[in-house]
Amino acid sequence: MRAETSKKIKNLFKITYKAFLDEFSSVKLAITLFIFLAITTLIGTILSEEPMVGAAELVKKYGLEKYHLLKSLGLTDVFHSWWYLALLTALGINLIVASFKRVFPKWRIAFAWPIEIEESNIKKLPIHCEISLNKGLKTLEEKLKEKNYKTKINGKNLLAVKGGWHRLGASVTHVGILTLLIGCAITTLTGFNGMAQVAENEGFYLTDLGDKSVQLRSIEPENWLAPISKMPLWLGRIPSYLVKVNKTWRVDYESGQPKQWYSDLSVFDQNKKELFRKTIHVNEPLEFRGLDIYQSNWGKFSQISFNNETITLPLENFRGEDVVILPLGEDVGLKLKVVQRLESREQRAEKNLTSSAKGGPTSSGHLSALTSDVLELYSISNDGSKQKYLGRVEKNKKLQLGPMNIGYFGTQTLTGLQFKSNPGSILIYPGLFFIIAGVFIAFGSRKQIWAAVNESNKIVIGGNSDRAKGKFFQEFEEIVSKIVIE
Amino acid sequence: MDMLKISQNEILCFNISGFSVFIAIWFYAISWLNSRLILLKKLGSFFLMTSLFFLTVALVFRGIALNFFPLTNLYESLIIFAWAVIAAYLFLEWKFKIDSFGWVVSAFLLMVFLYASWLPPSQKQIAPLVPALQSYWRTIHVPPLLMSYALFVIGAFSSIGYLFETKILNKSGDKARRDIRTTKEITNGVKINSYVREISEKAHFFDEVTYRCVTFGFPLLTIGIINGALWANHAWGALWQWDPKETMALVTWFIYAAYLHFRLNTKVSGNVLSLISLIGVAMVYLTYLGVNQFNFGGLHTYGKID
Ligand code: HEM
Repeated sequence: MRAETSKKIKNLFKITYKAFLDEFSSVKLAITLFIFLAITTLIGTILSEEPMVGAAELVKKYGLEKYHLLKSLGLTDVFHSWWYLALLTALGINLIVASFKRVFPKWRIAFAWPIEIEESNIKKLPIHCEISLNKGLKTLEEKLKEKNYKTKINGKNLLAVKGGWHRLGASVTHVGILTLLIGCAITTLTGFNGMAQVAENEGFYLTDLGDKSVQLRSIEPENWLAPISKMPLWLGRIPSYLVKVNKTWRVDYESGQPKQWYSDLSVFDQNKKELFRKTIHVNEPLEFRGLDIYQSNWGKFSQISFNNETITLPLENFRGEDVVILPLGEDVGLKLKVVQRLESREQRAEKNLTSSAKGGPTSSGHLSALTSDVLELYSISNDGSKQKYLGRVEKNKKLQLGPMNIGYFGTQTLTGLQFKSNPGSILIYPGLFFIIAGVFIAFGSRKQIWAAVNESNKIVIGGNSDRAKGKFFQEFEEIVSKIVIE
Repeated sequence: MDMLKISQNEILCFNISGFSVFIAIWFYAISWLNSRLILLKKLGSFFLMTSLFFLTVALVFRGIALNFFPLTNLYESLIIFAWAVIAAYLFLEWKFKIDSFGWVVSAFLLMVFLYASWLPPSQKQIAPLVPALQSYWRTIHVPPLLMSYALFVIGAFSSIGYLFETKILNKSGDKARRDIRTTKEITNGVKINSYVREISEKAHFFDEVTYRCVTFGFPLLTIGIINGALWANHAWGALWQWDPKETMALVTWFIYAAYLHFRLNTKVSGNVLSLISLIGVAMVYLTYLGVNQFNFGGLHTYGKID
């Protein structure tokens, strides 16, 4: 009885397993998934996505009720919704199973000879004819060799094949996709990334601050900490480098628009020994032992505290003023304006003029030397047309404003650096290469030609090609006309 | 040569190129109506070649003025797209002896030319690049994409030809696929028999042209998307950001991947394949122009018209 049941269970398991393999090796499923993914990706593109525009914008657009409905359906963030992930996962499984069960086994075809077939079957091929030749199959063989066919004569039969290697294309492409997927998995499990805003002569250590993703800027070098962001399940390691900014500057076009931002960086080990140094700019990152650092932005940042929590905010140039605008609700916002004291403003204008006229680097660190700046607070309407003065905060002071306490700790030019570790790249890049190579290899078709001498001493020739027929028919006609004329 | 002169020369070449396309339409159209007029078809090809030549010269002038490969705004992108369509069409015409829709391709090209010249000046100006776009990656990211779009567009015209041939011209009501047998006599009474699994040889031809366009176009699309990811990785440190332009390119890619895998099954009808190719080209439109025209947002804003 017991044995019976366990046998049944085993059987059931076997059947399920086989059904699973059958289902997931089918090309039909692949096509279905391609089409579903196309449709859902299209939906995700057309609908505004929460990570792009923010929740507030969506609530404004749909109303709260509809927003919650859409959110529960995953339509506010299609690309991270469970069902989109499920579709991708299904495609992944489909791809793996099908690759091993259907695609890779076919590589043999690339090198195989055509299977010998009978005269009657040759006459059923998509293209065929019957001719008489004095020298028999030899003439045909020579012509086929001229056309780069591989040929074999076996008594009264001739086999010829060309372009078999094109059949490897599918295998190479599929190997590439699998390699890419493994690479992405490695990066997800062990890679990390993050941002740091750094002033000249300062730097950062990489640290894991848990959920906290705001960088701590500090005067003591031990506390220059840049948090990494990573997956919840993570098996990686954080390198213990100190990355220091030796110098940072920008170069402008004559019009005053920024042309390029530069940062001269050094990487130190724990013993303060310099390991590597490089000047980076946008599109020219530093790459050192698996750690990549990118120039991402550049500009003036203010240290501002809200209810005793200090954060670094980028200043925008809004109608000629250096401001931070914080939206507070539907149509009001808080404008924080950094104002230089009169004498220093003139000095700065003068300095800017001389340096940008030369088109040379506008050095930055000096801005922090301007100690005499203050923060003015305004409430503003959404479109910036109306504003009301609320008060001012002196540097290193705080101001109580209703329920909010606002502090100001100065403005500095910082270089925005993005860093990341992408350990899967050793597989991702070859994977991408294989995909491209495979798609190219898959381009042509395998062509086969059979010929047999029949009872009436005539030669029956027939051929087939696994893809485009038209080109092959042309070639077939050409070969036959040539040997007939000779 | 001063800048003004260069830009005048460029505009002149652009106009000659557009006018050549306009003439090509007529030659192709008349040769299509009467298939014995082979000379007129050759003239059509000649005018397309002329157009390609002058377009190339216009691009060179612009490249000199920019001191860079001219691919910085929608206008330049459209010119290169038109260049790709002409080059791809002439290549396919020579290689596969296309003889039925040269006039459609030329008429389409004329629309591209008119659209490009209708663009507001802000989209045509020679302007300096923002830091993120100053990269050689730009020249290896965009041209493969434009080339693949061009091939998909030609493939779509061929699909329309297919549907026209099978749906409109063959009203026999015979839906089942049957083999079309042909017997060709070459010298000395030698006959070659062949068959295709299509409604007519013409339909078979259209089907194959579409297939060719997709097999040329798909690798180029793949390269373009992958290069885009590598560039993004280089510039922003992230391979993929679900930006609307990226995702639309992915949609297009899924559709043509479906086309290629559908094709593995010999029982799928040509009508289905033609429809997929048409859906694919609609996605190409959304990727290329739609993302900005319909305001899907995102980082790729250079095609936007304010
Ligand atoms: C996810 C499930 C997938 C399945 C079940 C699948 C299945 C197959 C099969 C059975 C073949 C035919 C192999 C041969 O005849 O030698 C093939 C070919 C091919 N596959 Fe896939 N595939 C999948 C995904 C993909 C993806 C994501 C790509 C993307 C590039 C791709 C690209 C190709 C190419 C380029 C070919 C060659 C096409 C041709 O010969 O015309 N496949 N696939």
